[in-house]
Amino acid sequence: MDKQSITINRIIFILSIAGVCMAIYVLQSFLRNTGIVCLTGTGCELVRRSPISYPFGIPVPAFGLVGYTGLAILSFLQTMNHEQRTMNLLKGMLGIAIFGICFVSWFTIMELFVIRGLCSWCAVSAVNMYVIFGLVVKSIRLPKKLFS
Amino acid sequence: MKLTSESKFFIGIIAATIFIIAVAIILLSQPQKPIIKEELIPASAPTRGNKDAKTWLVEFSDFQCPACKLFAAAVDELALKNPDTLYVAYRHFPLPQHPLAQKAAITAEAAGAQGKFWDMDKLLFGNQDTLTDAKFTELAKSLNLDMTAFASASSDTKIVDKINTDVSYGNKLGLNATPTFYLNGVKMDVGKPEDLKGKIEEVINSNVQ
Repeated sequence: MDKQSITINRIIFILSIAGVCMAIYVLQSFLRNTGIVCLTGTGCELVRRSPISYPFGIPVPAFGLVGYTGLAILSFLQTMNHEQRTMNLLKGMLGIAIFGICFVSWFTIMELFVIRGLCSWCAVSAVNMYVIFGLVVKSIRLPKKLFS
Repeated sequence: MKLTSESKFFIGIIAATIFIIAVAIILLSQPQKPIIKEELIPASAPTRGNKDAKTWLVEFSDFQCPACKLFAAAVDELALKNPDTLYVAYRHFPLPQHPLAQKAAITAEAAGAQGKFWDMDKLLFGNQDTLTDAKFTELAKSLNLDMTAFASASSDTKIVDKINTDVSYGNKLGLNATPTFYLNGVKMDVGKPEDLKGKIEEVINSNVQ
C-alpha cells in the first residue's frame, strides 16, 4: 500500500471504531430503555421510542454496530500487506458502505418526516458513514492507478 | 499471518477502545444512589396520596408533551387505585419546543392555588391538542375557580419562579426527556405506560407484604 492508501485506511479505521462506540452507546440505551444524552433536545428520545427505530424488531443501532464492526475488521485486515486481497477487502468495504449510506439516508428521512425528531447520534453516524463511503471510493481508485 | 507495524498500531487502537468501553460499561452499570424524598419533593410541589406511603413517585412532566399525556392517564389510575399506599408528586419540566407548555404549567399552578391542581392537570392533558391562551381561561372557568384570584395567580412571578426552579432542578439531574419518573428516589426506565404501572404495582405489593 502506498502512503496515501495507508492514511485513508487509518482514517476509515478510526471512523469505524468511532461508529462502533456510538452504536454501542445508543444500543445500550435502546436495550436498557434509558435516556440518551442528546444534542438535539428530546430528538433522541422520540427516535428511541418510535417503532420505526426497530425494523424487523431489531434496534437501529444494532445495524450500525454490525456495519461499523465489519468495516473496522476489513480495514484492519488491509494492514496485512497483500495487494490482491486488499482489492477484495476494499470491495467488501464498499458493499458495507453502500448498504450503510442507503440505510442512514432512509432512516434520516424517517426521522425528519415520520418520527419528526432528529437524533444527534444518528445524524453524526449518517455523516460518518458518508465520509467512510467517500474514502472507500477514493481508496478503490488509488490501487487501480497503481496496478494498471 | 504476519503482523505489520500498521497492524500493531491498529491493534493498539482496538485495545484502547475496548478498555474505554469496558470502563464505560462498569460505570453505567453502577446502581443509582436514591435521591432523598425531601429533595425530590419540595414542600411546594403538588402532591396526592398518602404522604407517609412507603412507595412514592415523582413525575417530571410537560403539559404539551404527547408521551406525558399517555403516562398521565396511567399515573391517574395508579393514584386512584392506591390512595393509601402511593404518594405522587408533580414537578414541572416544560420543554422549550412546546410554546404553550410554560403557560399551561402556570395555569395548573394557578388552579393549584385554589386546591385544584390535579383537576386542572387532567383537563390540560385532556385538551392537549386544542390548547390556546383562551382555552386556559375556559378550563379555569369549567373548574368554577375564582377567576379574579386565578388571573392574579397566573401573573404571579412566584409561580414562574417555582416552575423555573423545577426546570433547573431537572436540568441538574440531567433530564433530557419528558415524562421522567423517579420511584422511591431512583430514576425509572420505562418505555410504555404499562411498564410504569407494572413496576409501581410490584413495588407497592412488595412494600405491603
